[in-house]
Amino acid sequence: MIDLALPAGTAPIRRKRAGMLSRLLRDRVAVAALIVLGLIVIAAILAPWIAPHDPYLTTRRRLLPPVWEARGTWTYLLGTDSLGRCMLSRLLYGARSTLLIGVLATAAGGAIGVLAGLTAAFYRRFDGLLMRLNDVLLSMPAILLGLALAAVIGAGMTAIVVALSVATIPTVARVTRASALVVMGQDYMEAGRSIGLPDHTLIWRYLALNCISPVMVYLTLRFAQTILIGAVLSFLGLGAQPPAAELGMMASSGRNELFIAPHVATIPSLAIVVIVLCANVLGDALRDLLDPRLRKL
Amino acid sequence: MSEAPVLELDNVARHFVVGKGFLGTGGGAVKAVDGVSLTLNRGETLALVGESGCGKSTLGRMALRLIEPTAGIVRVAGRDLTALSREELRADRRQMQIIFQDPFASLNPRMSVFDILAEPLLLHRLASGPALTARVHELLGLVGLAPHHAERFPHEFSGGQRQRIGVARAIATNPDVIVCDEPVSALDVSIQAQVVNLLRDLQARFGMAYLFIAHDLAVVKHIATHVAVMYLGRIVELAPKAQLYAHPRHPYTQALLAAAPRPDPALARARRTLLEGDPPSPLKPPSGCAFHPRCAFAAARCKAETPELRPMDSAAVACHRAEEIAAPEVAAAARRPWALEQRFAVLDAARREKAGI
Repeated sequence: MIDLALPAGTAPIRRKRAGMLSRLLRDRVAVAALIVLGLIVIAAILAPWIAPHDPYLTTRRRLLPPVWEARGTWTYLLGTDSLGRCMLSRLLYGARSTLLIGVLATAAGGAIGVLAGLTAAFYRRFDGLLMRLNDVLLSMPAILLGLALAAVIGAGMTAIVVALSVATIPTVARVTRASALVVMGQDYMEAGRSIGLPDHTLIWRYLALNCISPVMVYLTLRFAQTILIGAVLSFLGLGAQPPAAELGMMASSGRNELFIAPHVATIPSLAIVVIVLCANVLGDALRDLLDPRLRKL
Repeated sequence: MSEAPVLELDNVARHFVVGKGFLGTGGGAVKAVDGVSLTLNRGETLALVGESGCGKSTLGRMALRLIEPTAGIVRVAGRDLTALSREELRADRRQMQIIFQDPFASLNPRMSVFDILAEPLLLHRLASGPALTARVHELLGLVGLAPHHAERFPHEFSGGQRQRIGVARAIATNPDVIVCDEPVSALDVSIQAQVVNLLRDLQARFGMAYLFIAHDLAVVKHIATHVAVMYLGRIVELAPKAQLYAHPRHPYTQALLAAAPRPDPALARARRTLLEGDPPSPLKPPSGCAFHPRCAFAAARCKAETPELRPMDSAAVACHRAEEIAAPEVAAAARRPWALEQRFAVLDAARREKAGI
């Protein structure tokens, strides 16, 4: 007999998850995006402690430019807006609201969408009904929905989060359903049934765990989109109401002074661009990672 | 025979509605399985053979009520499955299990082997705590794997090993019946013999009955006690294995046996009557005997009248002209490929040695 045993001290075969993380860390662009987004999130969470000034406190030093310009001062690193409020402090608080809107809407809409997608795939008799309802949602533009909601419950954070959640549901449901239908065709679903497992075990342990990766990728990309649409809604005055700070609203209020003090509009806009870019890069990296066809050898 | 059969199918049928139009108009029904009756006793293996699409997999799944029969009664150990509620059926599932064709698709990739094997035991409260670990290790040993394999995930195994895990899962609850849906046809020929022998050993030890779905006549000859030949949703011949292979009665059975691969090229070229044409569309089955358009012995009566399965010697045949058709000398032709024969011989010898006979 040939001895096929591995030499002593050989590391055991690594599990799939560990391999995935190490592969993600090898993608330098993704790592950079992860670090930048991480720093933004930490800064936003710590805003009340690290902001140099009260973001709502108006002063007479209006439209002060950032420190790198001729008239800039070190007291207001990013200058002040038209009411003399500290731009840096407002940026930190604004990122806080914007990220919160994005996370809440993506989580709520994503959860409902995943649930609807799994239900449609597992209980095929509900498929037609759920997907037609889905089509109705799909045909409603988020901005229109936001306008309608603002008219009913009044403009504000609630309206914007609800509108963005509803806008997230239909596509997530579609992606989940498509992915779940592939898993439903696998023999192990039938094996689970033949053991006698109850439906909830089949749905969570068998169906959801095996179809969730493309959904996670989509949700990451969707998070970026939600922030963007949220910024647009705030820009239109439907989201956060003054004096609250929110990146989209800040960009909107700065547009009147665009020619005399461009930093008031451009700085929050740049922040949105960076957040969305990082989320998109991460989503792409995640997709490359989970799709074996795109995996580099 | 005093004991009740462990599996009894009584006139079971399954029709699939297809091509339903936009407003529910038009379309038809495919009679995937059309009035099949059979019984399976403890310790027996009934092989179900036939071409692709003849309804054998559908029949196997109906025997477990994984597919609901359109008509007919399924009894497992005397209990009418079709009358059970969903909850009763779930509890009864420990009596019946299934082994799948594709070992790469039949194991949940997110669960470790331990979890896969422990799941049915926990669900049916057959073991828990230290007894659970012991039972999982025992199951792994029964199928020729080692206890340390329990910590691994399915993707770390080869096809043959995965099929062993599938077998271990199927026997975990000590079922009375196991439906084997082409359990070896996705495997390497050398692994096939191992898995078939494993199934035989387990049957000899625990006495479960197999409903063995296959299209490989060589494998069937090795494992079956009885053989049922299906054609377009119906059984055309049901006979004890030795008789079916030596004296096939139905022209379709004869054709199947004649089409089995032969190890000798000279013999293969000579006297080989191959079937003409394809199996007919199950949407539009031929009138009368479904086999008549391809049958060399078809007469006017075959076009008009559907033949019933009727007893003949110790077999049952659904053919109007069975008496007139002489059984050709097919025994030699259906011999297993020489190489496979050799392997079975080696494995049999090894098993005898191990048993200390």
